[in-house]
Amino acid sequence: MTEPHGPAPVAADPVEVGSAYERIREGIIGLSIPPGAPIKIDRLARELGLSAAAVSEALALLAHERLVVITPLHEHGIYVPHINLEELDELSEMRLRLEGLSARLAAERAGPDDLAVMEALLAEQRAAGADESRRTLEVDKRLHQAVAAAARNRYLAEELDRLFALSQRMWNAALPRLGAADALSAAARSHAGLVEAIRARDGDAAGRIMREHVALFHAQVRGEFSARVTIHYGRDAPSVGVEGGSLLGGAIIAAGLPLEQPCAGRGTCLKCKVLAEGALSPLDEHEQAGLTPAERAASYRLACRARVAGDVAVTLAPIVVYSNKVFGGAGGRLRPDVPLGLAVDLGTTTVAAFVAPLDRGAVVAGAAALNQQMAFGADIISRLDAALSSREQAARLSTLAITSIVQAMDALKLTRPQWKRIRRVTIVGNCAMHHLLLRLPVETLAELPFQPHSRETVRISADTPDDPLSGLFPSGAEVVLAPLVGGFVGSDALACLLYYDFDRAEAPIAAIDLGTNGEVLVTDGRRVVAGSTAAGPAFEGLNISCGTRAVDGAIVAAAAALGGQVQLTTIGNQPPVGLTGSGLLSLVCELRHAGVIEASGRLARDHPIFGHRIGTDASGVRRFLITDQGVDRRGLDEDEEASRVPLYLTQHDIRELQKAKAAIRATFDTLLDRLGLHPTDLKRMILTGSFGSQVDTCAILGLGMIPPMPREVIETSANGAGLGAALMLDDEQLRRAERISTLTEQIDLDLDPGFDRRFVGSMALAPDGG
Amino acid sequence: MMDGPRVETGRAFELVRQRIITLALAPGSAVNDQRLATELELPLAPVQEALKLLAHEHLVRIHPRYGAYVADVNASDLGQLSELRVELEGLAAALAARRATRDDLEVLDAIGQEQISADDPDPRRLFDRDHRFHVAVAAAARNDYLAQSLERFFGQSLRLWYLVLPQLDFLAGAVHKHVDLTGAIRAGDAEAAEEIMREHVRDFYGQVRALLGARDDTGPPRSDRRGKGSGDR
Repeated sequence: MTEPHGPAPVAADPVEVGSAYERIREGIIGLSIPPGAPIKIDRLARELGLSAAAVSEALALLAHERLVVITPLHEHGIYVPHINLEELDELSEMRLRLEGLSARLAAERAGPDDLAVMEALLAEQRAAGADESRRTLEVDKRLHQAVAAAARNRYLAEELDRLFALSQRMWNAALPRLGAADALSAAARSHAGLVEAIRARDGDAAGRIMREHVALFHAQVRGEFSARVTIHYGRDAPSVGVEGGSLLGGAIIAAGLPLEQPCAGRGTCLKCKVLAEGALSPLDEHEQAGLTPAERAASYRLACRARVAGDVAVTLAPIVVYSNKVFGGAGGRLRPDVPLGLAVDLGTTTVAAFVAPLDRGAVVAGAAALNQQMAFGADIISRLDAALSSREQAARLSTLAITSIVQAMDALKLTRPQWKRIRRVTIVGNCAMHHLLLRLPVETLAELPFQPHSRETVRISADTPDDPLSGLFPSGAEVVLAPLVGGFVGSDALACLLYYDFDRAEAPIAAIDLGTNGEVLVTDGRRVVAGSTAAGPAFEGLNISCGTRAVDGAIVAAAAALGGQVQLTTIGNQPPVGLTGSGLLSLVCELRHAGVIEASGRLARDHPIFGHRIGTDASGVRRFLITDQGVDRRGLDEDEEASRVPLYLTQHDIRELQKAKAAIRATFDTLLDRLGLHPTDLKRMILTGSFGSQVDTCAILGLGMIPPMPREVIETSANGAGLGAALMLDDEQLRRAERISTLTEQIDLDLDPGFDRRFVGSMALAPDGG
Repeated sequence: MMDGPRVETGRAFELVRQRIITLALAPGSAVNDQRLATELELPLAPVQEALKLLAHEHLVRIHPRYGAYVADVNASDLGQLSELRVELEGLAAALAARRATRDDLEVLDAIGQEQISADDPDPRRLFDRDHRFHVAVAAAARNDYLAQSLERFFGQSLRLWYLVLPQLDFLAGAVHKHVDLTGAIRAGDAEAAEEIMREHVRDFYGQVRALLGARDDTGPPRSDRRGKGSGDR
C-alpha cells in the first residue's frame, strides 16, 4: 500500500497527457515499443520530451485499454503485453460482430459525405505499393473508421477503435511474413465491394462482406503465429502464440505466469529452469553446463535460453531445495569404487534422497526438495482429483514426481563418477505418491474401501525404453519400488517398520512418522497395526501464515523468556525467515506454558509479559509477534539485502496445529486401543519424519500430541522412511520388508466408531488433551 | 522516486464506478476527490487516477479549472447503447451456448433459482441479481474482452435504468427469459440463446425508453468526431 499521506501527485497538463497517450499508443501498436518490452517512466518521458507525470497518467489510461500491463514494481513493473493467440481470437470474435453491425448501420445511415470519404480511401489504398504493407494497413484502419462514423453510433465507433488498436499490434507483428501483397490486396478488393453495398443501402450485403473480410484477415494472421506455447501450472493451462524463434521465458511471462530471471537471461543463475517439451532449439552451452544429466533426461530447459520453434508444452512447478544442514545425513565419506545405492522417500510435501554404499548400507548423505506436485495442491486428495480429471494431468503429476526426485537427487551434489556408480535405487512413498509416480489407476485410492491398484514390489531397469523413469538413473541401475501395506498405508510406513525392527520387537513399541500424512505404527510384540491420518502440511511448515520449509533461516525452536523476549533458533543461524513444523510446535508449546495461548488454543487478549506482542491483523484475526527482525527473501538475488519484516503466529496457525495434532493423537489412541495397550506399556516411542531429530519432545508431550508417558522411552529419529528405504537397497532386507507388509494390519480409521469423538477430544493443547 | 501508476487505482476505479452507476454519486454533481478518498479509505492519488480513467469512459467529466463532475445521464445515448448491447449480449449468449461448462450452468441455475424464489420488493436487489445473471452468461462465453466491454456498457446503461427504477415493471418477466436462456445454453442451442438474449435486451431498452419519454433516438445524430485521451463529451 502507498502511504496514506504520501505526496500529492503533481497534476499533469491534460494536453501533455493527451500527447503522451497518443504517442505511446502509436509506439505500442506500431511495435517500436515491442511486445514484452519493459517501460521505465523516466526514460520514456525523456525520449518523448514530456513530463514524467504526463507519461505516468497516459500509461494508466493505456493499461485500462490493455495495451500496457502494470504490476506491482517488485514483480514485472510496467510492460507491454505479449502477443497472445487466445486474445487475438477473442478480439476477432467481437470484431466480427461489431464490424458487421457497423457496416449494416452504415448502409442505412451513410450520407454523401461519408461515401466521399470512403471513395477517397479506396483510391488511396489502390495507390499504395505492394511493399507498403504498413501504409495499406493504416488506410484499412481509416476505412473501418469511416464506416463506423457513417453508422452514427458513438459507442460502437469507440469500441471498434479500441478493438482495432488491440488487434493492430498483433497484425503488425505478423505483417513482415504475411504474404502482405496477397492478404492486403484481397482486403482491398473486399473493401470496394463493401463501399458498393453501403452506397446501394444494402445492409445485409454490407454486413456479410464486412464479416467475411474480418474473418479472412484474421485467419491469415492467425496462420503466421505458428509457434504455440501451452503452460501447465497446476490445473491451469494457458496457451500463448508466439513467433517462431522467440524465447521460451517470454511466452511464460506473456501467459501471466511467474518466472524468476534474476540474471536477466544470461543463463547463469539457473533460476528459470522449467520442464519443456516439444519443438525447441537444441541445448545451448549455458544449458549444457547448467543442467545436470538427470535434469536433461527429465526435459528441463532454461527458459531464458531455449527458443520456441513450434508447439511446446511447459510445466511450471516450484523448485525448492532444502537446506543440507537438515538433510546432511550422517556424514562419512564415499570410498572410491564401491557401488552406490540411492534411497528416495517420495513424500506428499517433501522428497528426500539418500546415498549409501551398497556394501554397508549406511547412509552417508541426504538431501531434499519440495514435491513439485504442490502446484496441484498441498493435500493428497487434490492431487488424486487432478489425476482423475484427465490422462494428461495424471501424466503431468507423474512427471512432477519424477522431477522432484531429480531435484532432491541433484541436491546430493554427487560428482559425475559417483553418479555413475549408482547401481540400485529404492523408492518409497505413500500409496498416492506410489501410484501417481508409476501412472497406475488411482480410482480405487479415492473411493471406499480405498484399495491400491497394486501393492507388490515393482522392479524396473533404468534402461527400459518408454518407462517414465527411464533415463533418470545411470544406465544399468535397477529401480525398486517397495511394496505397499494397504490402501492408505504405503511403503514409506513400511520402511519405518523395517528400520525400527517392528517385526523383531518383543515388547510393545510405537512410531509416528510426522508429515502431511501422519503414519502411526504400533506393535504389542505380536501384531503390527498401522494407521494413517491426514494431518495437513502444518508439520512441514505449510498452510502456516509465516510457515517455511527447512531452508536457511527457518525457525526450528523458540524459547519465551521472562523479560518478554522470544529467542529463536534458526537453521544455519541465519536471520529468521519463518516457522518450520518443529519451530511451530516449539513456539506454541512455549507460549502455552507462558499462558499466552490458552488450553483451548485461543491466543490471550492480553498478557502481563508478552502483551506488547499481541495484536490483530487487518481482518481482526489475533496474532502474536514472533520477531520484527524477520526477512523476506522472495524475489531477491543472493547478494541483495533483504529488508526486515515482522513475523507473526496467528490464531489460524494455532488452529492448524491443533487439528494436525488432534488427528495424530486420535489415531494413536485408536491403535493402542485396538491392541489393548496402555501408553505406559510402550518400551519405545519413536518420533520420525522430515524434521525428525529436531522435534522437541517436551512440546510433543506438553501439547498432548502423544499421551503422557515416561520421557525415557521417547526417541526422535530423522527420516526413518528414507533410512528404511536405504536398508531395502539390500535384497535380503527387501524380502524382510515384503514379509512385514503382509503381516501388518491396516486400521481403517474412517470405519472406527470412536475416531471422531477422539479427534474432537484431542483438540485441547494440554498433556492429557486426549 | 517517480510516482508511477499504481495498483490500487483499479480498486478505486471499481468503487467510484459503482457509486456513479448506482447514482450514489448523482449525475451532474461535483466530485470532491479528497472526501471520496476518505470515504473509500484509499489514498488520494489512486482516487484521482481512477477519476481520469472514468473520464476516459465518459462517466466523469474533468473540467480543467473546476475539477471533476459526474457525467450527466443522457437519454439520447439510449438508442446507441441499446444497438451495441443487443449485439454484444447476443454474441455472449451464443458463445455461452457453445462453451458453457457444467459449473457455468450451475451458476446460471442458481441465480435463476434465486430470482424465481426471491420475494424481495427492493428493485435494487432485483437489478443486482439481473446483473449477476448477465455477468455469468458473459463468463460462460469465455472471452475476456467481451466480458469487459459488456460490463462497461452495462454500467453505462445502468445509470439510465436506475433513473426509472421505481416505475420499471420489467424484471418479473425478465426472470422467465433468464430461465429460457439457461435452457437454450444448456441445450447448446446458440441460435436460440442469442435470439432470446437479443429480445430480452431489446425489451428492456424499449421499456426504459418509454418511461424516460425519450423519442426514438436511433436516427442519425450529428456527426461527432471523437478526440481521445481527454474526457470530452
